[in-house]
Amino acid sequence: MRVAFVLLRVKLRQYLGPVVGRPRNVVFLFIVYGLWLVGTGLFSLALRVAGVVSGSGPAGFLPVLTEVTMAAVMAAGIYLGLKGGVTAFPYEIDFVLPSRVKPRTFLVSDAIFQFVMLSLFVVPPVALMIGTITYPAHVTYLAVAIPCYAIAMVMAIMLSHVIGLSRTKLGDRGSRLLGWGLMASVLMPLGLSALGVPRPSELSYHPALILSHAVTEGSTSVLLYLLPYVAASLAVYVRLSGTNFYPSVTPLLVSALMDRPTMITGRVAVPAALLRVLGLRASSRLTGLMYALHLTRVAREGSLFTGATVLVLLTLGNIAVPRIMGSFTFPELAQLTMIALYVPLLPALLAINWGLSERRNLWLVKMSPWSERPYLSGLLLAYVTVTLPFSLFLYSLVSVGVGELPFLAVDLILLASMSYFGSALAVLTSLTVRIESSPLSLGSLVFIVVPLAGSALLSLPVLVLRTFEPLASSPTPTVIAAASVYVAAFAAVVYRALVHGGTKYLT
Amino acid sequence: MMIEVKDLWKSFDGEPAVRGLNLTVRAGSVHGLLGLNGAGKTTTVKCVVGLLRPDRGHVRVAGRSATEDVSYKSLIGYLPENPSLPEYLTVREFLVFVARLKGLGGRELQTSVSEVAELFGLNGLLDKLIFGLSKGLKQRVAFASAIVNDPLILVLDEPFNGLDPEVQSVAKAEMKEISKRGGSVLVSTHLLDTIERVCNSATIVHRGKDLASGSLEELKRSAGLDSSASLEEAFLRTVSRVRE
Repeated sequence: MRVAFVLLRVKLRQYLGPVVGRPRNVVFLFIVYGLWLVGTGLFSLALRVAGVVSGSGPAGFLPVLTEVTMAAVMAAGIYLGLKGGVTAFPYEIDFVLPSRVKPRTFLVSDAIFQFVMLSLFVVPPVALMIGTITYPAHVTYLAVAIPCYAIAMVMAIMLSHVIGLSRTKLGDRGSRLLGWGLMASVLMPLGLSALGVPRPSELSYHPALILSHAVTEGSTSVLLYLLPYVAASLAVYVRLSGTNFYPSVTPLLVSALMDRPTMITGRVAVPAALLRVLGLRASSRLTGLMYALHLTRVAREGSLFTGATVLVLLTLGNIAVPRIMGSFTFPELAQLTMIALYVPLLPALLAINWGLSERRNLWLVKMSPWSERPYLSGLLLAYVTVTLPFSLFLYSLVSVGVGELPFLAVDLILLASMSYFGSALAVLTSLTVRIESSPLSLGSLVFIVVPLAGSALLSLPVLVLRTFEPLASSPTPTVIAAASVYVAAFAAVVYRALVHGGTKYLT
Repeated sequence: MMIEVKDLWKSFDGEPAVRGLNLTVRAGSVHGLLGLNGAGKTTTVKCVVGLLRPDRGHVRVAGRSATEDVSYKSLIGYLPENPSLPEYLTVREFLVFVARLKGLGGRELQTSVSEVAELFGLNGLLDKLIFGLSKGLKQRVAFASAIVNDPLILVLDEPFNGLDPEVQSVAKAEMKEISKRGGSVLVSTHLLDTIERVCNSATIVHRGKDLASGSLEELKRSAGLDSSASLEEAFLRTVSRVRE
């Protein structure tokens, strides 16, 4: 165990990366983490108010909140499992794995590391949410909720390791099949709700629902139903942990949001027609070259796939939540507006990967005699190119689901605004904040918080307009013109500031 | 002068890496920059190619100030130590990308890409992703990209890392070819025997300062050795004098 803790200590230092030993960075990290909690707190207050307004009570959202978060924790474990399961930095692959450290010792240190990491991301925000919506009975609920989330995290880590270790027995393809199968099982209740299919009664024995039930009932006795799952996972886990899994370990903590190019993604190329449409075909246009470079990168290195998967899962939750609520009618307006609010996550994830894999290639651009502005304009344009169409796709998906007429003029302006400002802020964040250790580190929160909060702030007038009926569904031409002019003017200001001022951060 | 560095100073977090270094590379020469680890070679090279801005001093490349006029960058080829490449591109896409960055276009671009691919034995790999190549092959691709614009000045930082002997010989021939055409090559390395075979002049750098500069014969003489001595002996003696 002593060796496991030594490994853990070094891994945590590497995970925290540049934060270690720099007071300014520690303060910055606390501020970002504080903002993350403030955002969660505000969201919980909104849920509490919505519960009161709907008549289901302040804690009306508790069942759906716990169900979604429990499923999300387990899905996160499965996602890590699909990427390799056992987290490792490149230094561990080069120096720890070839050493005398036993696979099981490494696995123990990694399990504790994953537990610490998940706890930092899950426990404080979830405790804040449950505490806010159940106040003044929060102590009773939290006393059950925190152990339940701890169990969910342990299960998530076991799933992550089991899927990762299964590579040695099942091979890459078999392990992927197992992972996606488990992912589908974990998300099945949400999926059925999103599709409007009634849940069979047997589904109440689903582990996420058992845990959710324990929290909402404030009782731990239902956790007995979880025993078969824990026992089965543990048995497989113990059996697999005895194998030598070292040869299949990947530098997961660096490449968690990426994928190695495959036969399919490796052949993705930017269609010449798109470049022509955007006026970027001429050989003198360096922006076209940069645009094609960035678009090729996000498609081939898997950033786009990861970002798109996250957004699809969020949309699944977005559609499922009101249906899980049953009697409570969730305003369609809010559902559609929610898409706009989380769409900037896509460029945010792309920006994290840019910092990890592309910043080091900047020497090529800096060796060019030309201005570096086309690099930034190409980057921004590439992010907008993938974000806007994808947000429109999700929007039409939800619109059809809720039976609302898609593509209202105000929605188009809102999605364009959020996509653009989210992309611009993602580029700005990746330029000014260095991420060197892991895309799953606490420092990455800034990459998420800035585009999400910043784009909502910059789009506030349109966002407010979208929430006022009948103005949102029947806007006058003057209102549409005013909203468009506002977005275009601010977009131009942001573009100028970013592309002209950003080059000095290209180092 | 192709490259002229005068009184160059550069610090990182208050720690000086280069302290008043002088360097001259003439047209038609292959010039070595020699030094121990941490001597300031890479920092000097990065200031020359414009990847770092000097704190003090002047850097002139092809008669232009490196800090004020970046147009010289179309004339140079650069190979960094442990080059990072966009691994999601194919070899062909990467070479075309670099050639376009250097201002090449049309038929000239295609010809240049074909020529360097042929020279470095990359023809069979042009449509392969860089991601899947071995370290040595990636170094070949990086070297090929450094000369794709047929540079007047070639700046190389530890260029032979990972190159097999066959490709090393191609690379050395290319360095000599550039100097024959009236261009110049600046090569930073601590592989002294390589320098002895390739370079006709060199500068010895130690703790951010130039200790000696000139032809290989001059370096040996300044170290108090005759021409039969090796460059390694001259280098070690020059550096040890400063230590004493």
